Amino acid sequence: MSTPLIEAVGVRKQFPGVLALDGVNCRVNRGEVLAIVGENGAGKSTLMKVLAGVYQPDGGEVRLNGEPVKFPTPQAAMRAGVSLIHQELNLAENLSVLDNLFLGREPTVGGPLRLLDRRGTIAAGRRLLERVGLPPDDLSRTVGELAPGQKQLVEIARALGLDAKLLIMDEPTSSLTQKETDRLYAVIDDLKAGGVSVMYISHRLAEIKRCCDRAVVLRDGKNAGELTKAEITHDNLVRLMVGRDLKSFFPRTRPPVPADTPPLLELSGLTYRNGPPHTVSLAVRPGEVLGMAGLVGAGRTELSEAVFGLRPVTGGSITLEGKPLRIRRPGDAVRAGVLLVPEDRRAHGLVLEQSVGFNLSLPNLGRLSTGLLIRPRDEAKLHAEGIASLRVKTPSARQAVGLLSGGNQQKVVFGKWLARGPKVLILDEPTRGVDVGAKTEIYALIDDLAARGVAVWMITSDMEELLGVSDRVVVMHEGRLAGELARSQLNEEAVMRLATGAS
Amino acid sequence: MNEKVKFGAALGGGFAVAAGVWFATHTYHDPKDHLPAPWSEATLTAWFIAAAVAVGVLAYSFELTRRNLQRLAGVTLLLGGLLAALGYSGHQKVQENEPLIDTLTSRIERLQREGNTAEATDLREQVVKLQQNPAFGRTNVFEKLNRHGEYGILCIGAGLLILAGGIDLSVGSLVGLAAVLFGVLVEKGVHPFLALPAVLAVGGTVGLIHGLMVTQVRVQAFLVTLCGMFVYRGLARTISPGSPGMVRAQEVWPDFSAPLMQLRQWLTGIGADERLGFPGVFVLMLVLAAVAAVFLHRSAFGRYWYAIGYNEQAARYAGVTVWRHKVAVFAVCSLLAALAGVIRFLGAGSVTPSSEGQSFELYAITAAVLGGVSLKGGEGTAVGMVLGALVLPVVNTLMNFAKIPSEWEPWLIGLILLFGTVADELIRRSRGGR
Repeated sequence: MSTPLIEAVGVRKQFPGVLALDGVNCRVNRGEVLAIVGENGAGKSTLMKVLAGVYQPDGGEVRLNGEPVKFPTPQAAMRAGVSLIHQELNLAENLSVLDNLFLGREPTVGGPLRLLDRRGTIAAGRRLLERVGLPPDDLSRTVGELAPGQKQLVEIARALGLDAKLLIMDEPTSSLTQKETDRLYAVIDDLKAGGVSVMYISHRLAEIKRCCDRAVVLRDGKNAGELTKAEITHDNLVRLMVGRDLKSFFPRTRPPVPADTPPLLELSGLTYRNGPPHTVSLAVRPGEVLGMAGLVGAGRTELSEAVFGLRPVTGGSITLEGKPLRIRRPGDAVRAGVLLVPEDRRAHGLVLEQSVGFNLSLPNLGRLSTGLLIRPRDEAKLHAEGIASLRVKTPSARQAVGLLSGGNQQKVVFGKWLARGPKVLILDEPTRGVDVGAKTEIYALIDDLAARGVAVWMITSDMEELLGVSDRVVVMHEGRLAGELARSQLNEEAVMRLATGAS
Repeated sequence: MNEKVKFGAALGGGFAVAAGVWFATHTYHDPKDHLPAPWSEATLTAWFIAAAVAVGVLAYSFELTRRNLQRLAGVTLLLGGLLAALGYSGHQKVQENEPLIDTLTSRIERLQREGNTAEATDLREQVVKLQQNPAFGRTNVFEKLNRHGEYGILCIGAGLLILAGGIDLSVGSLVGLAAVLFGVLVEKGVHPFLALPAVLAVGGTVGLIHGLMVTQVRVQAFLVTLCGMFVYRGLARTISPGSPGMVRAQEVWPDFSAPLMQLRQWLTGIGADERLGFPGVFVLMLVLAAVAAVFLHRSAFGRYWYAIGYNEQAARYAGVTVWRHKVAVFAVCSLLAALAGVIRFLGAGSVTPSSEGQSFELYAITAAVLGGVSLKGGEGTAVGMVLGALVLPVVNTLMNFAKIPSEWEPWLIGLILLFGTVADELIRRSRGGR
């Protein structure tokens, strides 16, 4: 076997209180696309950061072309041809694409005068954009006006400009549309053909199957196994990731809801401020999970925000249990029992700096107070029940919620609302950034809620989740309902056809 | 910790403090200087009980989290150091008096030998006075506590607002406007008991306008209150080009003289004989702090304010009507500034429209930050605000006693604030946080 491009040998990394990496081995060959898979907290990001010089390993070594190397800084790694592309992109939004491509290493002429070599830069920039399949005109555009997918490509182009031999990508497709994702796959294929290696973290198993040659699975900071391209299957990956077989990834204990059940929540002819010019009508029945599919930007989140009172409703009506419901602000929706688990958990769902208990209490304080004062005993009871019933992994209710893993954070968001006894639960991307183990738990929770008669309206871009959890699916396209699919009609092609606007 | 144990300890602590103050005020004064006429035992008892209950409530409401304790430890250490320095400089004064004390002592002995006991007793009292550490003398302590009270009232308002993610730069100007407005009203013959609520209403309204500008028109709080800073100062100077004063009001409206004195005694502790019989502003501040502590740490309001301060969107998505709460804290901040203005007028007897309350907004913010309120919002405690507000008066006293030129005060304060915030940041980082 030839010498691998880069190799981690027995790498250890200790953080206060956590052994993030415990003797991890991993190698990447030239022109290979390697997937790193694992639950949240398995050590994937730490491994990438060690390879890219963000962290220094506490033990073991990193070898480049067979020679032990030390990257004291990310810049040192970049000079050696290892570039990390962050989950949160590191581009200066206010500068042009061209400026970003050469930020910090602008070609200059005129010796000590260091004048910018405008012409040379533009030529070099065009070549880079060409390699990632962006039009050369994009050079003069401001990064802020690009779509997330384009930004990602600019970041890749920048790494290529540094003559990168290995690109490390941390969940590159988490914020991309399907089209952008396909484009990224094509670019990865091109890079691979050009001899560039790619290391790739992803939670989307279908994606790994599509573009990776090999998958290394991490669990609790150790190697859990390795799969060749032929072995990459959903079941194999999940088994290695969680260390056990997941009998039922999508539990379903609830009885089917008869079609003549009166709806719990009904929207008819709804429009909202700054929304699309179409009206939307839909109904959710008690005990059913209504899946809502659509491309990014189809107006799904905006619609749910209008129903929750975050966007002013301008026309149409909302009916809850047959009675008209007037929602002017989120407080009205919360009082009525129409509750939203928002898409952006960190910005909207939680006060990250505050404790688990603080967050669990926040929407329930009215019920926990007598007059002005909060009843501490009842509050403690609420915290204990919430943590126990959702199996939130936290040392105590006083732990800052931002320190928990994504899955446990999401459970806290659910816990906030469960204590109120929801009638309608709107879930916007309920498992984004959540590891596989916690995903199953959340699916079981959704099933349980529906079985108890809650009407669940689930917005999701995860096709597996949509097909696995929903009883019925509505698809949105450019702000209007493009169609509805019963469970018996559900399949990926049917959903995609509606979502892309094909009739 | 068990809530009951905490409650008992807090209440016990409150009473212990009050008993201590009681003991001090009843034994530490000049024997000739008996309680002046308006200071009945009943009045004093009411003050003590108010102070004790306030201390108890403050202690009981305090949330025993590690971060809160850490922040308190910081400001307590700072205050401890400053007080030790103060005590030392006072002690040096006593030592300077040593030769005089010796002379007096030998005279007393001579007088006693001569049988002139009356004169000897008089002299002995003088010696006792000279031997006392002047830094902790009653008059000085009371004056400084009242100063602390003024800063504290402003700091509670500014602290609550900063905690909920706002900022108010108009506090100082509003103190000036309220002081001048109160003075003008009483000079024009408005009954003092009516003028007080009127001024407070003006303060509250000003705060409401700030809040509505910020939440509805969406102008940045910094900008709105910066404009306010100029506007209120200008208004104060417009409605009264000269300095309104209490003496003139009493001359023109002799009928209102008594109620004015009454109000002054209750709010500041200055009796009809113009002597500071009790630190009234300090006790008033403690009571306000206790109320703030209950709201902040024991009620849903406080939770909402913390949530809004950290992450306004998360609060909104949890069903909190964010704008109402923001308007409310803006109103509270301005209301307390107006109250402080009235107290300044009553305490000083006359105010200068162009300078009254100048840069108090910065003192309030400094005190809040020293007390552990994060300018980023979402962090801080009521007890911290009270202790933070104590730093500036203590520094000020220290400067007087250690004969440090007053020109040094601004840069000393600046360095203390810088040192405090840097230390806090380093502690936070060392704990492995982000």
